[in-house]
Amino acid sequence: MTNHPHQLYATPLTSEADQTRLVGFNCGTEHFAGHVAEWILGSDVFDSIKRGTRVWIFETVAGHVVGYGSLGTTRWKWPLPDGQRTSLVIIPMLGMDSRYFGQPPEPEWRYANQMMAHLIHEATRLVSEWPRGDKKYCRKLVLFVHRDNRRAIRFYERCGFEAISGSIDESGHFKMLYDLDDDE
Amino acid sequence: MTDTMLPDTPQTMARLDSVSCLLDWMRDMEPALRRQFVGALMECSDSIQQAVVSMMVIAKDQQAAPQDRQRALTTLADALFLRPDETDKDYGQPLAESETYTAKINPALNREVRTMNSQQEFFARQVRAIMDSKRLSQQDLAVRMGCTQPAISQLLDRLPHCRPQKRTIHKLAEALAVPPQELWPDLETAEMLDAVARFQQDDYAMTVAEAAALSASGKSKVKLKPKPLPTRPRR
Repeated sequence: MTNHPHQLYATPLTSEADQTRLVGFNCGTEHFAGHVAEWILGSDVFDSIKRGTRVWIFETVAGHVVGYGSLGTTRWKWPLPDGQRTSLVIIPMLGMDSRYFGQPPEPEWRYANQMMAHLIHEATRLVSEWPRGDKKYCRKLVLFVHRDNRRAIRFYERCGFEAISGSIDESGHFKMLYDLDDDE
Repeated sequence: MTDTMLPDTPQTMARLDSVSCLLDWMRDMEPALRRQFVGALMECSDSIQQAVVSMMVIAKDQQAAPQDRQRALTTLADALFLRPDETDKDYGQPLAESETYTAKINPALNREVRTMNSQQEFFARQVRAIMDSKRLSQQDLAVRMGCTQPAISQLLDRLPHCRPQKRTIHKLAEALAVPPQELWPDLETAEMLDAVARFQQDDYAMTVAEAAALSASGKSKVKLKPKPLPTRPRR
């Protein structure tokens, strides 16, 4: 299975030495794309790792970096003055080098699908350790995306994410949800 | 043809300056070397040719720092003469491709390329350079920003390793009396990164719509099948 030429591999990113592998990483020239490379090349990725986020570099067998993905948890408050916190799984950032957009042509080996399938698998594994029926834990995966990033929005919808209407923030991002309960 | 190629504009003058720089350069060359040089230049892509002319301007600039001139000459050699990695192939190589290749074999350059890639390290260098050029001490900056000198010292120490928030960029720019873009050319990126940091924050108070969506138990119609990726075999 792993001998297929389009098989991606996930390598954990843990240190600045791993970061150097992303030299030249570029997610495109659109106004919503610059920060995706900056996040992984700068200090934000390590700030996130300090909060418990796991980060993977996705690469081909030849070692070409196709993209990266991250997965973490956060505790948001319900919108009440004494709102309780709830834990949920988030994808803080996910980026693909623009050279690999839409590649390879075979849908079953599409790099973006492989990357997201890996993140959903890891998220499912994470929530499987959470107690069922406890309202402090929400078994959903959340990511956020810029409203102008139509390519990404379409992709997330195809993966099963649904937009939360009314969640747009001042930077133009809105949140999308994926129900992890189905996958356990 | 001449009218369209050479309108009387500042851009034309800039272009002529570049051409003049190129001709100056070639004037002292041996004819054989000149032919080799022109041949190599003509085989380069448009973007490489532009880079060559820019590098020549730097190399000829007596005011430029010696290391910048040396770097310009190295880039010129890489662009015009044979590929460092494949000596029997085309002339010229896109800069990014050359950087990536060379970075792979040269850890020091690797670090430098990464530094150039990250705006926050550029930001750190800019702040220190502007402080130096304006002869501003940390104490001066502290007064202008309405904080203490130790706070400024801590900020400067953390700068290369810690991204400043957009409001910090504005505050520093105001204190240094420079446009914020001079410190962080792409302010929109800073704003986006702030948004990512907020997204991960604990204690974020959800909107009513977000809370309702999180409580809903609707199942998605389509789903991507979860599948772990293997770890790449060590080479």
